[in-house]
Amino acid sequence: MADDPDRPLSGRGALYGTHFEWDRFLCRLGSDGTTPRGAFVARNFILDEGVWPERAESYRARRAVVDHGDFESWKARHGAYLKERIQLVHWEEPLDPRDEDVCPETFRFPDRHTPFDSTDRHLHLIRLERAETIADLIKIAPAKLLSVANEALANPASAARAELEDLLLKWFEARDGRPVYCGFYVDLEEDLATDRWADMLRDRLGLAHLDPGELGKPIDILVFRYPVNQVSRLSGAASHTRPLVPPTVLDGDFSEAFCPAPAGGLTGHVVNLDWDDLEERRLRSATLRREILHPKTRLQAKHLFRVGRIEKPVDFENLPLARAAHLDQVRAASGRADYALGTDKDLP
Amino acid sequence: MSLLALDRTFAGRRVPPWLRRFEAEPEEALRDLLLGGADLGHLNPADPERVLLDWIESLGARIGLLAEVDRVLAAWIESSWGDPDPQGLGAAVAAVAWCRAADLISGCPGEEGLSGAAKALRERFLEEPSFLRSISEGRARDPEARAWLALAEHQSDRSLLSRWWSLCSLPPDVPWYHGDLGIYGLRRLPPETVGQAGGYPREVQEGLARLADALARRVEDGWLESETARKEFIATVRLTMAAYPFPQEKWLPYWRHVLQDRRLREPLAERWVRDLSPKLDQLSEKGPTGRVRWIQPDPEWKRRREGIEIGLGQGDSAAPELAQRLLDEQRLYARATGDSFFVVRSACNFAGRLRKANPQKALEWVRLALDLNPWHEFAWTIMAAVHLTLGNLSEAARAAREAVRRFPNDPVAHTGLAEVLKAQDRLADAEHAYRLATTRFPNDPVALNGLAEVLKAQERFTEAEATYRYMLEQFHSHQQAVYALHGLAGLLRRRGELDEAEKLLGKALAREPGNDVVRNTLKVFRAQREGAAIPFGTDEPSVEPFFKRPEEPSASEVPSEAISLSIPATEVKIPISDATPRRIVEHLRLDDLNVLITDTFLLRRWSRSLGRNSDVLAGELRAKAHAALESLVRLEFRSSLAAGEAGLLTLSDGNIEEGLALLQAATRRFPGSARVRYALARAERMAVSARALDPRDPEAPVRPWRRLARLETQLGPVALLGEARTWLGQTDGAVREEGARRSLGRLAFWIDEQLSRDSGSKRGAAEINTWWAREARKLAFGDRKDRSEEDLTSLSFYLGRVQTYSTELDLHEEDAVYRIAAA
Repeated sequence: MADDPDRPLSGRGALYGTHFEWDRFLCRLGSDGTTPRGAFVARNFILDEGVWPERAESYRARRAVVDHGDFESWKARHGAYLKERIQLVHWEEPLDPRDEDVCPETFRFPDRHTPFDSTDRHLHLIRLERAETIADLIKIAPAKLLSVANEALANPASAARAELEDLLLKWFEARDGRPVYCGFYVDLEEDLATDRWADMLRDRLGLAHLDPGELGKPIDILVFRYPVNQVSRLSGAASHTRPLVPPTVLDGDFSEAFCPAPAGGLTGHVVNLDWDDLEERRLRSATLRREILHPKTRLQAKHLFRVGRIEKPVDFENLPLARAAHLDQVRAASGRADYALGTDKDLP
Repeated sequence: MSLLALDRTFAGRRVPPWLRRFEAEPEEALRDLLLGGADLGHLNPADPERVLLDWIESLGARIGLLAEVDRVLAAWIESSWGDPDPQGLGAAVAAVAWCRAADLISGCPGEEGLSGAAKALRERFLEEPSFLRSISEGRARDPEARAWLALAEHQSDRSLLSRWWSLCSLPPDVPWYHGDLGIYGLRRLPPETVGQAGGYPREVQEGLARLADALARRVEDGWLESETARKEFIATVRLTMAAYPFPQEKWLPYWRHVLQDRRLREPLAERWVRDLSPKLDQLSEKGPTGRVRWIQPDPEWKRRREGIEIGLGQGDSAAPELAQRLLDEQRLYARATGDSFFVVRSACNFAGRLRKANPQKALEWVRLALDLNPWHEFAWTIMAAVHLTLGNLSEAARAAREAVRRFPNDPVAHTGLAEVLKAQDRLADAEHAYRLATTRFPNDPVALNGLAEVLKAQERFTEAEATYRYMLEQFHSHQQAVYALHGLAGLLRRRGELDEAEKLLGKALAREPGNDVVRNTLKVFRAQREGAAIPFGTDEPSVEPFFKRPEEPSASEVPSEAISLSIPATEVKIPISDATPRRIVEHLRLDDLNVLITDTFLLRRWSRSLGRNSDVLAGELRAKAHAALESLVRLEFRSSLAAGEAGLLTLSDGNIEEGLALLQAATRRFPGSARVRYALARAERMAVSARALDPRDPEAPVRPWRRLARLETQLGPVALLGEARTWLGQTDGAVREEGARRSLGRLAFWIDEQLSRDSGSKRGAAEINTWWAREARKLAFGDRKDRSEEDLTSLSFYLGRVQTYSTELDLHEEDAVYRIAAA
């Protein structure tokens, strides 16, 4: 397909190669990697081999696999898909994967194998939340939330602990049922041991939208650490298993910092936003960190691990470099030397 | 355009692309941000409203971004209100867009914030709250809740106070998780005087007490899990208490007062309050008396009210003034505490007593009652009766319809509506209303007597006589027999059978010698027989109502003039054009829309209840309903109520596939509408009955009912009934058997809980629960007292019942849904 002038990009993604207009639309958007205004998003759709056929069909059924004309129109349609199929309003535990009213499509196909199927339920996960996002949802001043969180963290026996419990309950009930992005604690343990752990964690988890540079102010965060065991269950699944899956392009809002992994043994990895750091570690495969999705899960005060502040702006100008380095590592780790060459060979 | 001077502000740094676009195309940029299409570059995964709030915070004051966002957002609210499918993206996107809009407004409070947008939202939302409800699917995507919060942040006066009290009190049409919105509104309520600013808001305390009672009542009524309600209350209280950190000085004394002075009505609420602190659990029954720190109901109110009621009944000229004084006191108490029980009860009772002597005053009082509590069980029927006295038949009809919708278990509401129809000279419609009432309440003598009367008025003497004689056979109490004897005598007299008529009146007098009406009628008859001038009227005088409530008058006396009750469908002007696709009906008043929908609803029900006995009549009624439907189908794209009713009407015609398609489309537009969800579940039940289950997903046919219960927990029993009927309608199989038994068992358990819990309760809501449970048991379980799945007998028994009583069960389901579904 790379020889096709209408479709200069190529990939083995499940959402690519079936609808000519859509393919051409993706290629048009994805062809300019130097100014990634939607280019990396389009490339990810060409690349993502982890989208199951049922999900691809669902995306098509929502008129999302068409030539949208421009990035904004596609983003709006993609958002509509997310609202209807992923970011659901209702939630029940255990989640019934047959019930599309409560179970996001992300978890509706438990018979499909994922690399996390056998994950030990005592392993810990790490999840980062912006404090203002929580505060907005439960109508509390961000400063108050931070004060309660800090107090609860410093003094687990304090009244603040109970207050934090109430806040987390309200937050849990107010938020929708979108899947939760997180990482393994063991992948991030070293980063958390540094002084600039908040900035580093943001970069390692690829959370480019938490950018003090673009938003004009530092960003306060809460970090939660909790066992896999805490994650909501699927009905009908073995009691010791939890629905952990690698993210795909269909699981969240468009992100320039996301990069899908090739099908096979890999688990999906986060693009490290810290280009300087990558320069230092370019040849060390250990910089790849797993990225995981699980269903909405009730967190408790005891799971609060850190309270911090992100101050360093995202180096988004160098996002192409970060992506290039990430892909190099993915190719090395997966043994797929040609992975993403059909889309990203223009990267530095 | 360089209004925002972004280049200067950013001084050479990169201007975020969305801001650049907003500078050039503000309307389009904001619309895309709200609808989720705005390209925010590497910030795309963030919540866009949060991103904009951050920009406003860091840039707004300097460059006028806030003012420009305010202007554009206000314009978006005006142009987008009522559109559930913006740019074809669907209701979920619309719901999120309205959440974002409201969150933006909340995030920039006060005059210096997004005040223009707040004003626009307030006007639209308060005028037509059902729009946001119809796209609110639950707590996690709830634009209605976000709108309330936005309004709370932008209060400049205390005009929303009654709304906050109402939310705290969780009336039946408010979702249980909206109670804490009332608390939030009270927290942001401006103080009564400038001097009170920054002080400790007593309304918030009182609001929490109202919320405790309201949540506990939902639990007691069987609508809400106890633990869910307790957690909600405890978390709300603790967070509120933490916001006003005066535990010893303010909170403990208040909760102590609440417990010691028995300010809570629900025992469960008391238990929750005691759980707030160990110190509260150790309270003595009555603490030390001291200075009264809290506003409390006056123990003398009951005695005064009863005395005034007697005075009003006896025409005591001082009584109205005394009544007004008491109402003023009680209204003050209600405004300060949100507890409207006393003032509403007094106002209803006084209005009922004063209806004839001073209907204008009575109207003022009943309006006061309804303003404070539109869910008072007698207020709507009193309102209808007062309007009848005043000759305001259209208003009487509106009130009577509301009474039927809100209190389907109340025979007075049904017969009251029939009386209004009769007053309008709509005798055929009055007859249908009476027939439906006699179907729903077979032992109600007012309904039977009303039916006989309206048959007599149509000169259908044979049917009228049969109805009277049925009453005489059926009822044995004096009053009921007197009622029938008197009516039958009038009928015989019109047929010239004067001897027999006199005999019947004699029997009536023998049973009730003190009945002056019967005595006068007898005098008239005798005078007529003897050829003397008839002393009054040309017909027998109307008998004073026998079955009115103590507190309220009957609507049986009506003015003779007849004016149009409803708005004929053809008169409703619905200016919808392709050029203005987004705006909801401009000139059709929402009240009128509701009248139209309720009329269609009533016509459909009358036709349904008549279906077996009179195909011709039922067909005529459906034809009338179809005339109304022509208007509804033009509205169904903008009104969830119209869409639901149009779908049900189509189904009632037997057009299942067409109705299904209509309702599937409507559900996509209005996913938060319980009426539409119910109608769709019912359509799918009809469509899949007698089909084999899909072995890959055998539960698919019952899932719509579960969705209905998720949307509104109060409809849980309706969903169980619907689910059971869906299973029973399937072809045979083990899955069907298991599913039917499971849902029937759960329904039986709920019914049993209700009937045992509510026995002896006098509460309106409890009475409705009891009634609904009792009727559901009668129809689906017959004489069986099943309590659980284990008690169930052969499924063929239940199948027989739901098939035999399918019409009644449908009506019973509808009663529950229409009562609480605000969208």
